[in-house]
Amino acid sequence: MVHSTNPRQGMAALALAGALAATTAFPALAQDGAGAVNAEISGTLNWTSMGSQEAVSRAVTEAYQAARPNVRVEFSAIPGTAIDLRSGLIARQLANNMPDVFQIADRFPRQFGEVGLSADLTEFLEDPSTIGYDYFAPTFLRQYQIQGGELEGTYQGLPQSADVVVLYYNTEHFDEAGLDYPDETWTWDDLVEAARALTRVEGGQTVRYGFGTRYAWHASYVPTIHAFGGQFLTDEGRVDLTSEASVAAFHNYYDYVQEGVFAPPAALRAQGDEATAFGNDFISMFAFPRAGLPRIRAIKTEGFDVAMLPMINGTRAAGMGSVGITASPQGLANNREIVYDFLNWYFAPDGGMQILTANYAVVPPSTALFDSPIWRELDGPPQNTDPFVDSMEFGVQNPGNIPADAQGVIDEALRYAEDQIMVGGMSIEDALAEAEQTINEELTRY
Amino acid sequence: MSDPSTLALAQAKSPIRRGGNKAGGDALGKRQTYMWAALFVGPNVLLFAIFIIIPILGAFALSLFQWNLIRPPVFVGLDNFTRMINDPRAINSIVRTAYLVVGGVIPTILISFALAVLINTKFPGLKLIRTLYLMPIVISFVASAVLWGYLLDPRWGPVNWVLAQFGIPGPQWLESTTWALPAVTIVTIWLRIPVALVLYLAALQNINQSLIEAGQLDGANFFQRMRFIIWPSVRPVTLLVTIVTLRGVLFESFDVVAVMTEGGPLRSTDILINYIYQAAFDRLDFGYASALAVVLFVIVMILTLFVTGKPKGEAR
Repeated sequence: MVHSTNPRQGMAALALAGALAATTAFPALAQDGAGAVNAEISGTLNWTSMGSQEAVSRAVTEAYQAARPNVRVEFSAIPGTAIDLRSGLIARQLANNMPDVFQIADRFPRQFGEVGLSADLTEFLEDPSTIGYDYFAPTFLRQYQIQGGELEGTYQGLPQSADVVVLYYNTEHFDEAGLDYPDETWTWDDLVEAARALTRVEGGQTVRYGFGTRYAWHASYVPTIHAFGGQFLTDEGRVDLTSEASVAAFHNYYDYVQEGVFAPPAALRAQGDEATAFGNDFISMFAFPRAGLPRIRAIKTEGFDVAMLPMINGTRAAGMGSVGITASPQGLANNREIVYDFLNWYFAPDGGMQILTANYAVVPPSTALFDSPIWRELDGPPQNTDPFVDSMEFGVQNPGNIPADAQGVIDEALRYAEDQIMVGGMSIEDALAEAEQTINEELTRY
Repeated sequence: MSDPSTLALAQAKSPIRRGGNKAGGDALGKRQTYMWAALFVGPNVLLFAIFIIIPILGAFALSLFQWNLIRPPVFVGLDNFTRMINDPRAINSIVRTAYLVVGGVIPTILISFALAVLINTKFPGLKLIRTLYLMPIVISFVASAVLWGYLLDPRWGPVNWVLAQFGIPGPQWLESTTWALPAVTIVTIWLRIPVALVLYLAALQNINQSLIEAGQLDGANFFQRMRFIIWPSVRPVTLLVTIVTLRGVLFESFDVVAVMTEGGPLRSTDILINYIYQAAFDRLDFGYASALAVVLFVIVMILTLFVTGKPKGEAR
């Protein structure tokens, strides 16, 4: 860690140190010196992140500014999450004030491309001076490639992280209960048994649950439905929540919430979020990508580790996705040299990627960096970083052909179904049937 | 006596002329008065128009369209309003909002008035107590909501612990459809009290003490002085407190709901402002969200007119 009274000098030193450290991790980029200081390039770059990533994006901005002393970087963050970023960017487009570069979530490439928010980055990927296709793990890059329609084959963004859901577990709770830690042989039944043993009830109140996650979240239910042999979205573009597989998938969570060994959604909400609940020892296990680590580590820096999610119904399946970055058509048209340079630098292991990984939130989206020390050798916990990579083989993505606007409807309908089951006493089957009807009626509007 | 020439000079220099000997002078004086008035009020009116009036008119216009910011807006007339009538979630939101208004505004007025009376006396540690009462002002709404989430936690929250000391089993608060909205209302009241308290405190300190002393001499007890002297004296401020609190409860409860309950469980805290936000920004359904906003605007206008309406036989 570099300590300096001047943030720019500090960031430059960090970038240079990273350049040396990354040589073995990604020789091609290190030789190209994408992350090194370059005073030749000059101009102005305007880039925008989502509010939830403002702190790390600001650090990235400072590091880039230090590495490109003659580029003036104008950084802004649109408060909120990916949803708010979308409406903020649309408003900026209406005001003819689009940033050159901005973040994008994996569910928006089609919509962003269709409305002209994002540009096709195929040329960037094919340009010999850039990091190119080979940098990216194909699974994650494909999330930004449009299938079908007028934009067929175009890349409307580039993944900046490789997010796969893993199982976080509290080693102290496991030791205290005399349980073996989860490993690759674990099944869902093992998880449930462990959750029963880890749940603590005091004075009639459950003060600790064995497991908790965001159940009505696509990264939870989509892979679970897949594990039961079904699919969330049919080939006809309709949501199927009443199939045997879908019902079994939701029973897989809610039965154990009702049993009292998985944390109820409202109890998790009262904690702030699942990562905070895990950090606070309110739940002993939870399922989330690496992105949850900064929140956990803000509370708890020892006594936990990660494993691959257990097999469900004989199949291992984990939610998978990414946050990405893209350029606006205006940025590419008017500011191509700096946009290319920024993107190159952003992904360089001695550039932006080092900053992104340093706060524990990101697994690089590059096969060549899956074993890189820039994230593998950060101080634990987690001591075991293999599950973040090994789980990719079993990754199941949210269907890419769900219209972007419909995701809000799906999320809302499933949250309501969850409340009906948990609070309203409705059966899982009836609540899912009602949600399916609501969602499919709405889907006809798109 | 003023020197007449000095007086004339002063009148000539004065931006606002109060009188004149000739009709022409009157007209000139009025013109100058209007000019100065326009100069001082103009910027305020301009900014008010840009940031308040025009957006309100914009929302009215937008409520007649279907628009997702992306495709061109489509004129749908009153469809968004008829859709609302058939939307159980919209009806539920209006009912929940009404509950929050009734449950939030009246207690805020009564509690802040009572607290203002209590701390409008001299005692050791007065400054500390006043500072503590004003604390919610300096804590962001989001931080307050997170804090209250912990306070109301049924497992280890201090609220249920205190209730348990009196043998009262604490409810599940945010996890219960019965108690979630009262919990949100309590937090809303807590957030609104400081502003109301400051206003009441200022009003109490402006009451003519001789009136209270006269009441005491005439044998009025504490409650009679409160009922017949103090409460009527602060009535104009009560009007202001009501409107400010009403506005706060209707619009600024969003943060509390978003952080504490997200409108749940089972939409029991799904107030109108929360639904408007979700319709606009989760679904990009800006036409419908604007129609909901128009309804909220009408509710606010009706309530404001009701509050500011002059009671018969009472001068304020």
